[in-house]
Amino acid sequence: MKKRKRSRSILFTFGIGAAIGGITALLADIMPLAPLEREWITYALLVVLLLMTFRISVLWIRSTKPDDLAMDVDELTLYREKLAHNFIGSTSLFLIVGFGALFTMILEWKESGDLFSGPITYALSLTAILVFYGFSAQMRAIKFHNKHNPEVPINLKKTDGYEEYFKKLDEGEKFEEYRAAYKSFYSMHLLFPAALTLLFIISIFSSPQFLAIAAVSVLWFIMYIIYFREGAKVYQQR
Amino acid sequence: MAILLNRLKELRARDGLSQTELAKLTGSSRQTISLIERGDYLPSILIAMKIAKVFKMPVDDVFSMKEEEGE
Repeated sequence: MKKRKRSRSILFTFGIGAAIGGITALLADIMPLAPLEREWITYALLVVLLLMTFRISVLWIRSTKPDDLAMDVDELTLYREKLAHNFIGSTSLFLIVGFGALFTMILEWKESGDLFSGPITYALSLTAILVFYGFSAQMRAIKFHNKHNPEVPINLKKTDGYEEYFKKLDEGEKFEEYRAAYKSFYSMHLLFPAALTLLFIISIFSSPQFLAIAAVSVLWFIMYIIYFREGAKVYQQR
Repeated sequence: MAILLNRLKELRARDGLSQTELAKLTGSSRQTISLIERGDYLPSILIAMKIAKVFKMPVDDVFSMKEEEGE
């Protein structure tokens, strides 16, 4: 039974390998990949950032509005919890995209040769302003959270501000955090090999992506080491 | 496999308590009460006892175990 399972998994691995090989061969034949247009990526990131600016601005305005007196106590608590969650989450996503856009644009700007005018300079300035706005919005989001959840405050002045917050959560809230972290871990565990395969394919048909492949591999390795070490703790206790 | 049933919603309605109020009385969060009420989370013995104390009932009148059929 075990032998059959093993031979099945070997066949499956070969099948996946053959499928990837076939697809890449097909891609090479019918659609050779051109080098990615970096300028296009930077402007796409800027558009995404502008759309996200609208979203966090709406949440910012909502956080300043007085409480709706028509709501009962549970509806009001739920509304505040949801708003704080969406506001902190949206500003965090905004800053992730913002830094991605900022770093890409700085590289693009440096290579453009035209350091004081030109579209990339204006785009870079706008992105820097938006990232600053994102920071301010996140500060506001955290203040909103701390105002309505004083028992579980987030302290960004400390390096372990979120660790303190996590320690103070009660059992149900901790359960939710663990569940979210579990889902995030397993999604990333599937996405890392997919990203590596994609970078490998791009490296074959376009410019080699040595640094990106190394970075993805290291991140995947670190993520798994953290998981592995935490899991091993259960065997150390007698 | 056994599942844990609870009468939180019914007892809250009886005593006119909101989830937020019950959470305050048990020293937990509204999210935790909501998770327990929906059956998404199995509470610790401590929180189950605190909830039962609020309703002035024994724990097994608030929570009960049910064996799933076909197990």
